Amino acid sequence: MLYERSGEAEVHIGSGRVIAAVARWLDWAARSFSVLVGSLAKVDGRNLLPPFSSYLALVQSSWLPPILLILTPIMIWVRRRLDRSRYEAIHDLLDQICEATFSDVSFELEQHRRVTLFKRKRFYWKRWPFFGAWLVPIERSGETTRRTDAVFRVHDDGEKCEGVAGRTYSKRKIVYVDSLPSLRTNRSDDDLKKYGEKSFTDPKRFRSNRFPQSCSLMGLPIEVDRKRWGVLVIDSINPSFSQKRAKQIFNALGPSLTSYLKGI
Amino acid sequence: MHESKWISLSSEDIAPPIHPEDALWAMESASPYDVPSYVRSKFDKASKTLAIEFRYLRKEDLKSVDLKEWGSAMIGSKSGRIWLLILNTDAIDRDFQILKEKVHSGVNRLSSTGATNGDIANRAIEGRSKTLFKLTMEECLA
Repeated sequence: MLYERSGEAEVHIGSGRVIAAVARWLDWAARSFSVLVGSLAKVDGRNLLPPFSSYLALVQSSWLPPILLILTPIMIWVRRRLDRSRYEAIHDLLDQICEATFSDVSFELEQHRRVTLFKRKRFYWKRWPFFGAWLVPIERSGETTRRTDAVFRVHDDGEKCEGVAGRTYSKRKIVYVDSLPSLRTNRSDDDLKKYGEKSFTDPKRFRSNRFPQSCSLMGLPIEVDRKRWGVLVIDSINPSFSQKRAKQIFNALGPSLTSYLKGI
Repeated sequence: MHESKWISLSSEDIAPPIHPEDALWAMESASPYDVPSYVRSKFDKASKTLAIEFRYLRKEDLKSVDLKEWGSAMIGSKSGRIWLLILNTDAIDRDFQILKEKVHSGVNRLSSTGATNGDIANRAIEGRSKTLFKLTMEECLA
């Protein structure tokens, strides 16, 4: 069988939200303590009564001030990178792109048409080799299929890039593939081979319990500050969809999306 | 200075998808960042110059390119996208076809000096040439 493989860890899109919540709390604590320690730094403890004088001496002589000085800017940086409101705005934009692209078609389930945003990362610990470049999903329209193993290699050699996402990134062009064989039911080895070839993916990557559902895919390159940032992939279980409409929607909403991606 | 309104451009018309040789089943088209969304023309009667201006998804830093007797241009300093063409019309006969050919030859010359989307710019001008050159023709003939 072609698909006997893959112990690769899956990605949970939006899992950074827990880290963001912790970072937000730590940021708040570090700032509050900074104000407190800063205001006590030069107070003369001899004028205070015990036990306050000993508490003050402890604060002034401890490692707390230097730790806070280091921790506060780090927390601010982490919090900005994982700003939840920004991810919510990006999610809304992806929803709008998805709704508008498929406005003329009705789907049984939300996951039957999706828009996924992939970011290029130099280091990714869930895939081997860790270093090199990977396209990792960071946000997806809708609320379903947020667990995915759709992570694509962006090889230094453009011809070895994986998936429609990898090809879009390496060629810096819009890539559209339609009429892919349906792997949802009654899939044969030939179907898997054909799907792999047409979607620029090694069929060995497909998990036996999670085959790709999409029959049409479109990758759009994303630039931030005139540099390649990642890829937006629109996919559907239908054999095709309107390229023209997808491009029109991207032209309308792309600039807003790009401005939210700065600093992520 | 006379100027036309911004004219909307369709990416399907000026950057149509093609089947790449190494993947004939797929379709590829230019990055949306390389395809102008709008174009307009301006004609300066005093200096007798025709300017064709493009607008893209994102603004960027520009650099000037001197095209000698033909005129000049502004292109993206890193991307090489054509943002502005300034054509000297002094030496141009008052003929629509000649004017069009001169503009296309200018774009082609620009492509050899670092512009990356000359073919897209040519198609954008070709499809909207009557509207874009109308002001110039009227002023030249006046």
